[in-house]
Amino acid sequence: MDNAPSFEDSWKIEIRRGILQYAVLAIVNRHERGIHGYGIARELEEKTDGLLQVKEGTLYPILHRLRKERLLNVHTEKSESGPIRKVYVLTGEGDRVFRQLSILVGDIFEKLEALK
Amino acid sequence: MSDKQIDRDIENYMKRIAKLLPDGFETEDLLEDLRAHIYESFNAKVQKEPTEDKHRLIMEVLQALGTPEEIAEEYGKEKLAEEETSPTDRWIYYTMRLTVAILVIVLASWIVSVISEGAINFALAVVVLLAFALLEWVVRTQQTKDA
Repeated sequence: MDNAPSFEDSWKIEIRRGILQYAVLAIVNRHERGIHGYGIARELEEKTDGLLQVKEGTLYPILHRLRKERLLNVHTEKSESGPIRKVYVLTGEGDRVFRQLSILVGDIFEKLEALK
Repeated sequence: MSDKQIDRDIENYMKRIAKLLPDGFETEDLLEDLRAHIYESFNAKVQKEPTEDKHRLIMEVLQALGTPEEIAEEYGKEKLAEEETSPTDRWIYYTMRLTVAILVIVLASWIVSVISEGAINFALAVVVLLAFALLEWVVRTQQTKDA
């Protein structure tokens, strides 16, 4: 039996990766005082109606990468549920990159629309 | 279902992820984030559905989080992308690590040689410790590739 993903499934996985990083930056950008990982997962699900079908755990390697790229800063706070959680905020560089990417994303969708 | 059983389910899940990732500070950091997320998501579900079976709720939380394999795969991809985008930083990091490792080896060999009043040869101690350090590096590299 052939279990290989269909063309559409592979394409969705590929496009989702890039979009997800942008979506995470966009959500953090909406919260001036920062937002924790669980909040990002919730907002991603609610605002996109689950379109990106993100497994919540896969957000954390992305958040770590964005931190390493110095696009996000982090501070900790005590959560109501017990463990200490990290709160993510955009750095100055993160803000610049997000603005640049927003322009690029707008351009891409505009041009794609024209191709239809 | 008892809270202890819930904690055990969470710990089993965390152990499965830890097994797939290389040892180190970054992995510890990631596991800490995932643990905080699990408790937060679980408590939110319990508050929303207080009469619901807790085992079912924790299973829902873990399912939404993804399988350990999916998380490890994403971790691997991000590491790869990170190395591709910052080769200079990577070389600085490796050079610093190598320098620190050699300093520690020389210092440890000197201390061992002095304490044993020359019974353990300084040069021999340097070679043996260097061999162990190399072996550890090879094992770690393999673990990272496997993850």
